[in-house]
This record gives sequence, structure tokens and C-alpha cells, in this order.
Amino acid sequence: MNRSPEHRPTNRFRRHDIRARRILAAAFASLLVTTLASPVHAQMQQGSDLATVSLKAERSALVPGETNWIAVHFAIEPMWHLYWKNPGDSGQPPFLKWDTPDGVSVGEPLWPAPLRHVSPGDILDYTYDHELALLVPVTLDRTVGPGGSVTLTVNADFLICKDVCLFGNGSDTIALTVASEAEPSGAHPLFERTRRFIPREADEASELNIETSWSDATLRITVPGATGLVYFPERGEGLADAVDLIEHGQADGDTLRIPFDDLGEDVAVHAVLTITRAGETTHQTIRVPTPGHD
Amino acid sequence: MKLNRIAAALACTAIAVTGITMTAAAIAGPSHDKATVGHQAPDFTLTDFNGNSHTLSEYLEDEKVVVLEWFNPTCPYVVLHHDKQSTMADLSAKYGKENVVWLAVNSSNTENPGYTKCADMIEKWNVAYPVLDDSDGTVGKMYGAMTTPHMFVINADGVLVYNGAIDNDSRGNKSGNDKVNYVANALDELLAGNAVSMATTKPYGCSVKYAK
Repeated sequence: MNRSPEHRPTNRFRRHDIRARRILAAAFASLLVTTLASPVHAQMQQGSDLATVSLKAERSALVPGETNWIAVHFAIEPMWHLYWKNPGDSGQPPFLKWDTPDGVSVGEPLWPAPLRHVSPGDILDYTYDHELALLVPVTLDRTVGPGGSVTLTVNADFLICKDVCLFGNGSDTIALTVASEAEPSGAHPLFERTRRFIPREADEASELNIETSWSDATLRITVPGATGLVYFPERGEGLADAVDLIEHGQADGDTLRIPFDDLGEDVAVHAVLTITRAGETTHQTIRVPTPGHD
Repeated sequence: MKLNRIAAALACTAIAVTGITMTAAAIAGPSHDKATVGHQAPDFTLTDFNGNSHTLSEYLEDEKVVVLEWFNPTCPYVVLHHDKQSTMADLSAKYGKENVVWLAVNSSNTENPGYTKCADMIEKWNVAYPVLDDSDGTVGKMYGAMTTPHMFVINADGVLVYNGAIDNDSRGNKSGNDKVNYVANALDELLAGNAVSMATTKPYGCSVKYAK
């Protein structure tokens, strides 16, 4: 850098000069971007700005032979929402693509229980606002041993909506050491609060004494002691589709009566219940065979 | 005279039977207050964004098959089919030659960008078929339109024969035999004089932005 006096701007003008140049540069860049970007690209950029994607590890290292939990965290702009794995009547869940080294496997995410989102026209969706953290299990095969380092990259496509909807995309990379032991990381509080929203497995519910029974094509679900219940249906091959959930998918008290249309060949009902009981809220997966499929 | 009494008896029976039939239809009707596959599609009259009026039953009187495409030009899934891909333009042009009428319906409320930007986007995308203004949402709610796009196919007898997604490719990245266009298949089956084999699918897209 040439520091001779004749090339250095005088102090009086220096700060203004730099600021002016920065303003001009920014104006030019945004003009360029606006001119070159098609409306489709501009929309995508807007969507991407509305949710920030980041990867967080639960522990300080990845441990071979154990399930290591990584969170894909979406920080969602206030008033906007993302969708659950079953989005409901409209919308789409985020779609994750991973870049992982050999020997490292990333499994299916655990989804926290969502919220009901009812829009005019009787449209019922299942959504998240403020934040979404998907918990993803990472395992290492025998080729990955302690002492090395593993880099994971996630790329997430998402639909983010308010009164309009936008596509967005975000990615993040995390580098983790591989060790035979690990400690809770600084992201531990995120994992703690997220786990409270991950529904417990169906067979982990014995103390709730959930009762279910069919009456024609209506499934009665009773959770003794509950003061409020919310029903979130899971979709899939062979799973029965409930109807009229705006009216029947939520109830004060201890009982839901979930109507189904034509059960046909469907073998089971899979759903998540959000249960308010004794002043606490818990989330529970239920799996109930349809009549004749016990 | 005997003949008169027989005629009167027959007339009374006919009236009674008609009354019972009509009552039965009225009872059957309300359980399907939204358009239902296999039943008559609800009639409607709407004005398009060029000020022209369109009535479903008039198209059906001309024995046309009618496709309804729920539309919101700011929805990324509609953009997918009108900008990134030319699904709707291609299908409407192709089947237009076979007497199929293609109508878009916009049920976005008047304050939503999906409505305020509609006229501009129709021009920008060169949408060659009518886009109907359903901003008070009446027709959308009659059909149970949930998403944009949400597709309905009505046969020439006025029966709703398809309700659902445009295709199986919400991410817009399938090709070859993996990519299935449900509306094209339904139209092909109808034009061949066959029943629609895949009559209902789950539509994908943004929620319809109905008025409150």
C-alpha cells in the first residue's frame, strides 16, 4: 500500500469520502441486482431472508457407536410461518438436502409438535412460528474414528408464508471433531427446549392411560385428566385421513371424537396429540389400528 | 269414468314419486354442500379480469369439458407452473383444440397481492384463457378450493370428475415417467370416453387467500 503523503486524502474529507463511496457502491450493487434479478429470483431472495438456517450440535464432538443429535434450526421472522411434515390443507414442509463425508449417515428428522393454523375458507394447516428446530440423528460407521473431523452441510428449501407465500433457501455448514467422548455444547439449551416439543413414542405413554375406541368411522380418544387436547394427523401409505378437523381436531376436556370418511383399505391412524393436563403440556404419538386391522 | 280415475291415480302417484325423489335429492344435497366428485358441479357466473362474464352452465350447454384452475399469481407454486414451467399454458392450448374450456379462478381477497397484482401478471405471463374474479370467495368455497393451484375437471354432462393437484411434482424436478400430470390423464380418459381413474388427489400449493 502506498502511504506517501500526496496519495493520502486529507483528514477533513476522509470520512465523508469513504462513506460516500460505500453508499455509491451499495446503490450500484442494488441497482445491478434489481435489474439483473428476475422477479422469481427476487422473490426467492425475499423468502430466504425470512428464515435463517443454522446447524447446531448437541455435544462438543461426534462419538462413534452413538447417535449424535444435530439441530437444523430455522429462526423465523415474526408473523411468518413454516410447515410441519404434514402441512395440512395447504403449504409444504421444509426439504433438507445433506452433504456428508463417507462413513457418516444422517437419518430422518424428529419434528416438534406444530400449532394449528386456521385461515378463512376453513383451511387448516399445521405450522411453526418464531422458530423450528428439526433434530437429526447422525451416526458414524467403523471407518470414522476418534481424532478426525467431520464437516456436515445442510441445504434447506422451504415455503414461508404470512398473507403471501415465498420460497426460500438457506444452508449452513458445521465442522465437528470425532472423539470417544463428548460433552454438552453451548447449544444445549436449544436441544432442551426442542425436546419438550418432540412427541413421545406411542409405547412410551403407559402412564397416560389413553383410551381409544371406534364407533362406525369415528375414533374416540380419551386422555384421563386432560383439560385440553389437540389432534395432528400424520399422513402416509395406509393411514386413514380424518375429516372436519377444524371442528373436531381440538377440544377442551379429556376427549376427542375424530371423524373419518371412508376407511376403505386404511390400516391405521397415526397422529400426534398435544395434551394439556395438570397444568402441563405434553406431546404424544398415538397409533391406533382401524376396525378389522388389529 | 274409469279412465279419468286411473289417469288421476297415475297423476297423483307421479306427483308423489316426484315429491319423494326431490325430497331425497334435497336430503342428499346438503351433505355435499361443497362440490363432490361424482356429483353435479355447482353452477356459477363470474367476471374475468377483462370484464367479460362467464357462466359454467353455458359452457356445459355447448357440451364442453371444463377445467378450473385455482390461481394466485404471487404463489410460488403458481409461478412454478406459469413461469418456471409452462404447464398450464401448454395443457390449455393442447386440450383447447379438443373443445376443453380452461378457466382460472382467483379467490384472493381484494387486499391481497394475489389480487392486486393479478392483472399485471396475466399480461406478463400472457395467460391466454379467462382468469375469473372470485375475490369474495363464493365460488372457491362452493368448490372447496384449498390451494393454488387446485384443479377441478367437469365433464360435458356437468359432473365433477377430478378434484386435486395438477401433478405429482410439487418440487418441479421430476421428469420422464416419474412425472405424472393428473389433469392431462383425466382429460385423455374423458376424451377417450372412459371414466377418470384417478379422480381425487391431494392438491399442493399455497393456501387460497380468502376474504375474512
